[in-house]
Amino acid sequence: MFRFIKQHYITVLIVAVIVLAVLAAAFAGKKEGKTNFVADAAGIVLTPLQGSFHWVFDNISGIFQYIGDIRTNAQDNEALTHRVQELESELVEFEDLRMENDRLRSLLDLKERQREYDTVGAEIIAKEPGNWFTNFTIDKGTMDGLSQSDPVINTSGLVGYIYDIGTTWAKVSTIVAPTSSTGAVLPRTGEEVVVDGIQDQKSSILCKMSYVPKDSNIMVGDTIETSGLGGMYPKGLYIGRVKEIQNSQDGLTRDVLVEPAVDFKRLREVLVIRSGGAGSEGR
Amino acid sequence: MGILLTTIIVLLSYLLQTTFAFRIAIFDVTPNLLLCVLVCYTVCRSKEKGLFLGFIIGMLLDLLWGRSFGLYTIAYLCIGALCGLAFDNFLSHNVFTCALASFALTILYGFGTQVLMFLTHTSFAFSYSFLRIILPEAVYNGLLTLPLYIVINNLYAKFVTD
Repeated sequence: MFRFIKQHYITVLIVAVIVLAVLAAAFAGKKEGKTNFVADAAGIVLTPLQGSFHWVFDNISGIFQYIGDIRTNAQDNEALTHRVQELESELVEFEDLRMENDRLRSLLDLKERQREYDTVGAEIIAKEPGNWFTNFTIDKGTMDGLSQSDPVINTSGLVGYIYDIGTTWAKVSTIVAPTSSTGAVLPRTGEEVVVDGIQDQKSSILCKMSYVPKDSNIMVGDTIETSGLGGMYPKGLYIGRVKEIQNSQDGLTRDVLVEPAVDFKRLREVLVIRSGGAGSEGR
Repeated sequence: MGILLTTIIVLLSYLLQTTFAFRIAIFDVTPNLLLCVLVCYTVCRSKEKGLFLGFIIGMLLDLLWGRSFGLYTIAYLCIGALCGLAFDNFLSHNVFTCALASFALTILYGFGTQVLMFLTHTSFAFSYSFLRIILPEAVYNGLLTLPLYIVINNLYAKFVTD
């Protein structure tokens, strides 16, 4: 190889300069809200392939899962039937409560908070290589009206946000990634906290709240929602529940473990809240 | 022909790594197919080619996943270089030393990631990371390298003549 370089050093030099120039242009010329054209082009080429591979492996694993589930289906069926009966009787009670709530609200002339988001459904087609981060790629991009920093949720709760976007793809950073921090609030007490992603000793998919004051009223089971501060996420998105409360090493604060509402190990589809680029203003 | 075969192997490994590897996770640990392929390629070809392929794989990952450009490039470049040096100087070229190299380089890669996380003030627990992530991944990579080396070695022996 060195003999080759020695003999054709002019050609090698020219090629190296061209490659460096392209790379420099690619990474220096990043447009606002969108990734550089080299990464975008690579993503456009690879995204359909990843989608195809994902579809094939998803169906194959689905078949195996179906076979494995046959045994437990009968038991699950019976338990679910019983649960449905319980829920139906609870529903009757809740209907009465809802009507009373509406009546009282109209008396107080309170506007009901409407939380209707403009969302786009997307499928996860690839996950980041390695075991250190839980970022993934979805099959929607700027062509579908998405933009960088758009929040990503699913039916259970908050998933993360878009940190890089191309024409037909987007990369999502999850709230459980070790580099993630999310502004949150405890609705019961009104305390504002920060939820960080970690890799805990007990489970790999947890979050943590650090520096919680020792005199805080936080309890196991408390729900946690986004606070809306910082402009990253809208207010009120469900993050998870308090799982465990520990005293920190300094004895002055408490470390709280949070179990996310979303099952990140089985996450397959997400919803992206279209913000029209508004979400990136606070960053 | 050699370049075409290498391109196909790398692309296939990348696609399998991102779409399939998490489905064969054991205790939530996924194998690093790209690292295994790089080690096998370096053993089958030469240290210079291994170095170059490490650079290419790192660039590919930086382009598609990297938040700070260059980290994956440096990591995989070092893996290719160390692997090439080891097999050039004191390791024999066979499937078991290849698996051992995968094991060792995975641990080095894991330590490198830990150092980076420490320097960027990222929250992590070292003992948990080593026992639950690095070590299992190293074992997994080592075992995966055994059949991978045989396949890659046979492919290059059959299709590439140099």
